[in-house]
Amino acid sequence: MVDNPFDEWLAKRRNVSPSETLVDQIMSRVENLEHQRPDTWPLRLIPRIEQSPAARWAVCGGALVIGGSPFLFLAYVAQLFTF
Amino acid sequence: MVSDTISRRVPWVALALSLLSAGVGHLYCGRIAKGLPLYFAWLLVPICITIAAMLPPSPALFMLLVLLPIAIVFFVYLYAAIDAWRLASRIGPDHSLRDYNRAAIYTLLIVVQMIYAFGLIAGVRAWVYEAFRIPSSSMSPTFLPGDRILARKLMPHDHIPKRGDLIVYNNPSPNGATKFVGRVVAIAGDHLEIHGERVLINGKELERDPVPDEALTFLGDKTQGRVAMEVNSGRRYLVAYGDTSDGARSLGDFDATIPSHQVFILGDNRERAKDSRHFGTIQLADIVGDVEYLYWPSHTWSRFGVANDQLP
Repeated sequence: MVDNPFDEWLAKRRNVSPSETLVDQIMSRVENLEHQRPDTWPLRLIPRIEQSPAARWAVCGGALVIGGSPFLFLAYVAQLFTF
Repeated sequence: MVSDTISRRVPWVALALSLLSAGVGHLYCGRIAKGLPLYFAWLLVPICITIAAMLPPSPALFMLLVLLPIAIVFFVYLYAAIDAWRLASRIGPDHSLRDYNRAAIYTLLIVVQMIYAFGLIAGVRAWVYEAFRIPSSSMSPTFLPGDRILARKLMPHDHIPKRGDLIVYNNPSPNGATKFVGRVVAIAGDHLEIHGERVLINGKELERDPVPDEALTFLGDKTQGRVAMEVNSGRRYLVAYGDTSDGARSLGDFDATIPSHQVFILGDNRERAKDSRHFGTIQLADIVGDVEYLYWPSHTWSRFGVANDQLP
């Protein structure tokens, strides 16, 4: 038994299934949002690394080794060291 | 383009990206205008070195157009890393993501910079300047063992070396190093005679002036025997004779006219050098480059500069 007109209206609306067009529109938007989202794997990885100082140092150290390799190659080409 | 999505900028990620490739940390922080010049800083090195190779050599030019750009690129790399870290710390959680804030774009930029940085250095070595380390005393007193020299490879197609030029050339004999350093003593068409220590070009003996010992203190104990100043077609350079310690070679005699497109090479340490007296004349095509700079002297930094310019 529903006394309040608003509750009566709400109960009626709940019983009405949404139009297919509306569902399609919403699902389409959701799907587009999924496509527009940036890659999530780095986002998931970053908090994990952030929790460990050693992992942060390792990442930055690795980056330094890779990013500094052109300078090492330059030093090698300049005969400052030989293999 | 700025999107509505807000994302936190993590300082150590900005630092790591910038260490991988200068400028990418700034792109991560949304500062593309600052990031791109940092990203392309490596281009400064080949451009300046190529300009240096096209100008007459001088120590000032070497420092300005070879050493300074390399130092600038190195400091740009360090600055970019520190600045990206500070920038990300300042931005914190309030960063509106840009179109280029994607892992794929960062990866692409890092890979491209690696390729172009390595490629530019290899390209400079292949076509502009190549560095060599002197392993022996065969060019003493001009070059001492351990000296590092720079040979210019950027030359006109029809470049013909002159008498007295210092060159790097491909070793024509199967033994020993692949490249040698030597001095062009005679060029195509010259009639060259060598009788013991005497060298005659077109019938005229090369002048030799004695050099006082006090003027040779820069040699330390690196050269034995006598040192003299030889003059060849107006070019003056030091040569050493009489070093008969272990490994000395016989001077031998030579009498021939140099064929076209060839040059005759002698080492400045005449008793110790392996040169055209042993393997004949050198084809012009086998010349790798002109020695231009002594950029890392082994004994004293007073010898730093243009090769053969530091004469007593």
